[in-house]
Amino acid sequence: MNKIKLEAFTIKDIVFLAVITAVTLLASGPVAPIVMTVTKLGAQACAMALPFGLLTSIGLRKVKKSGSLVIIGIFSGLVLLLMAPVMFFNQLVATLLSEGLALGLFKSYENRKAVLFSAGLFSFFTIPTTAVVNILAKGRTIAEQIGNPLTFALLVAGAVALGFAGALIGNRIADELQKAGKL
Amino acid sequence: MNKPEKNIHPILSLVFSVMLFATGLLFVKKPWFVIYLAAFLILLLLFRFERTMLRTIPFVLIFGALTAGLTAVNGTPSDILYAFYRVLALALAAVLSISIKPIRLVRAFNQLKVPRWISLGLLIVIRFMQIFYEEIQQIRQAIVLRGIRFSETPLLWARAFFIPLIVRVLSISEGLAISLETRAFSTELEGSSYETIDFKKKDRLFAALFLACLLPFIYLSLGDLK
Amino acid sequence: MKPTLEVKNLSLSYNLEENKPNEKRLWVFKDLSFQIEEGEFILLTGPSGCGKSSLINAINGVIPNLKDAYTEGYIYILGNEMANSSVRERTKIVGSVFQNPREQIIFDEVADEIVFPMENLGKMPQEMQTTLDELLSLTGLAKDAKTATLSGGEKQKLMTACTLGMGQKILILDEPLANMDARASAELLELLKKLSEEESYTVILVEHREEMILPYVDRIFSCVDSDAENVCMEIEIREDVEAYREELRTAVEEAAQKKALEAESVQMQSLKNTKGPVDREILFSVERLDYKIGGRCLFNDFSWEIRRGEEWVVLGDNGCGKTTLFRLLNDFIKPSAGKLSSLYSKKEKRKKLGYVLQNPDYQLFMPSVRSELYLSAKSPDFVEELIRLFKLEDMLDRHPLSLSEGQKRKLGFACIIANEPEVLFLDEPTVGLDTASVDQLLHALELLKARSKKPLTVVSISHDKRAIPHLGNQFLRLSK
Repeated sequence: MNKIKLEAFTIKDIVFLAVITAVTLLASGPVAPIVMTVTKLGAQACAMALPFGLLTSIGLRKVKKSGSLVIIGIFSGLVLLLMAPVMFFNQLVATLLSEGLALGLFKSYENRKAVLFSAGLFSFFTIPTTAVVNILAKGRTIAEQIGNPLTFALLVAGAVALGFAGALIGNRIADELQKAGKL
Repeated sequence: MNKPEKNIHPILSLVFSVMLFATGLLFVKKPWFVIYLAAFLILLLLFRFERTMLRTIPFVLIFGALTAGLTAVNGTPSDILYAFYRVLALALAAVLSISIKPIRLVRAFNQLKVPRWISLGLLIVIRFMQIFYEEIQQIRQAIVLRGIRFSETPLLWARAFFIPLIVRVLSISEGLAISLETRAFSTELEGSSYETIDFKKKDRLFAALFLACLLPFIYLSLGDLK
Repeated sequence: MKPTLEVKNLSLSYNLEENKPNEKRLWVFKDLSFQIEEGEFILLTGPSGCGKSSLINAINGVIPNLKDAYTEGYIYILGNEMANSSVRERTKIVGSVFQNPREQIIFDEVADEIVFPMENLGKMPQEMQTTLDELLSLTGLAKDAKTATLSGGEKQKLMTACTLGMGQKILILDEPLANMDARASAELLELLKKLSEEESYTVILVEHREEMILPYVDRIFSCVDSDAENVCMEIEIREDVEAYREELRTAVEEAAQKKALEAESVQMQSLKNTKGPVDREILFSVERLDYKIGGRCLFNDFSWEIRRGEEWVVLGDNGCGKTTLFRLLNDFIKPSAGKLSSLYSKKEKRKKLGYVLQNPDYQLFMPSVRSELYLSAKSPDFVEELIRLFKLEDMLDRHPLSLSEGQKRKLGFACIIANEPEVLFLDEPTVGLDTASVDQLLHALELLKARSKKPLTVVSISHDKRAIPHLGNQFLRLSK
């Protein structure tokens, strides 16, 4: 059975992942008001899913090493730590969960499905972390956070669908750039 | 002259920011929340954080109004007030963290033996958010110059936006990586530090006053729990 | 005594297959050999895309360590064979300054950026402070100046200072003058000359704008087309700089005469196409304009008019506001005060104005060169003419992003003029182009003029002495 391969990251890898993180954070800027103001569980993940899915999938197509998504999570978490500390854990846990699942299933980012899964599910996995933080920091019960179950279900489905849509678009862009010899 | 707030140790600022964030959200519904807020405002003013505090005012006004507005849709007046308090708590915590000069944080990280790739990555993300903000403006202008409108051809617009954006990401990151390697950057070697980030007397005083302010409120909230 | 740098039978190909027979590879250069002595100042010149950057990247170790390429041969630096050594090993001896300094700066303040490589080398704080002070006085940069507010030339100086701080005695600079005005260029060249003469630095400088650099250099390494099969370029070493300068001058004069004749015939055509008297209506009017950014006043009480058919070249130092002026005229930014009016409405501007940006990467996004060219073309005939002129016939199905930098620049230019604008804004259209490509570009401009129903208005920004006389006959000099 194939094992998950662990390779060292070069400076080139680190720099690329840091730059793609910067762009991802910037691209999710327009949805920041939603993230900051809407307290419904799942709404934040839904708003961030498309840009995160698209840009992180390109990041993973370029740096196909195990741990790349977690590195993106660490970088984005560290920056968000300066603005909203809780986001650090949110990003870190979400990247760990989605990368763990994707690599557990597909072993390596050489497999496109792993890229699709990892990038597509990233936003979805911020939902459980947000829920836990809300319980701990704000004392809000799960039921309070979910509110209307149908709305919650729609938001979760939206986060998954938009995440995968973003990852698919990202993969297509990556294919084209690879053909042009740029990736 | 350097801004006074630069003198607070960056790790201390970061840790206290996290503490303020967590306690702020916890204490939002307490009757003494305003006193908690006032205590830390005075402390921050004493340590000359007024410039950074002024910078957070637009954030407080915009997000405070937005949050309060959204809560007003189906919330009670006290819900609206708590929503606004949450924004205030967030802004208070942010005053400490956004006053940190990234290079000082990186140097402090290096002193704490945090891997250099993490501190370098952090620096790159912060610096290149600004660079890519400008890049995105340029790309949007280039799209206009090629006569493409989102309302008329959204797919073509998306293509004209994302392809140049990713090309710029690739080209900038490759150039930066080469530049870093030829400037002797290495993830394996420790290197030295131009400036040592020490805990100074001022940091110790700030830490003592901060904890002196915070502990009574924690005690009060524990009392409420009982 | 051993030479500082010796390249022996060095070959480089971007065909990466290890087992591919050598005769089937396309070589950028093959069996290149030369020596450079201590304290020499070398100009490495040649057409864009000919392989200059590949050669210097092979010397400083970027190839094959950070960029993939197949290489053979030997590189001796200070007598040690280095062809297979890491970038880090070579960085101890060879300092490199690259293009695009803005994209290499990671710190907020000048001092932090300069000390960064010294920190990486593990130097002591006191030593760093001394070197920092020396470099600040050498470059004239302020210690706590914000890097984001530096002009292009200052950023280039900053990156050069970073390299100098590392103390390597071999310096390789890749087009360091690309976006510098004459004054900043001369300052940097003086500094490099001083280092080579007084402190025995060996300097290799890659640059197109030969006429500016020739007074400073000891030898010229000229990249020329190779006669050998499957090899793109070889190096012609010219020891007699004065003779080379004379040849260059003669070549420029001949080209100018030829161009004058061509221009005359195009003008005749253009006159035939013009119906009635030449229209001199005002297209843009700037009255008492102020523009402030970040507390800095770029324009103060500035007035200007552009009339139809005029050909302006905007000159001035880096950071004086040339591109800002273009952005104001194109409605991308608003003036702080004053009046800026135009004959064109905002909607008409998008149709009748063409703007060639300095970096073509922003304007190319279609999947093939063909689709890129035809995207907003008005007439297929003109596109075909441009394809022939720019020699794009064999590249039509290629992805625009797979082209060389020079080819991309020409394609970007072709795409904008294929739309046959009434007013054309050109921002440094010839940066990084060899003389032949500059000629093609100017010829394309003449073709557009000849086709235009209304007299074409051209407003250009350029530092390139080869192109300025042909880009316009009216000059606007902006000062800081």
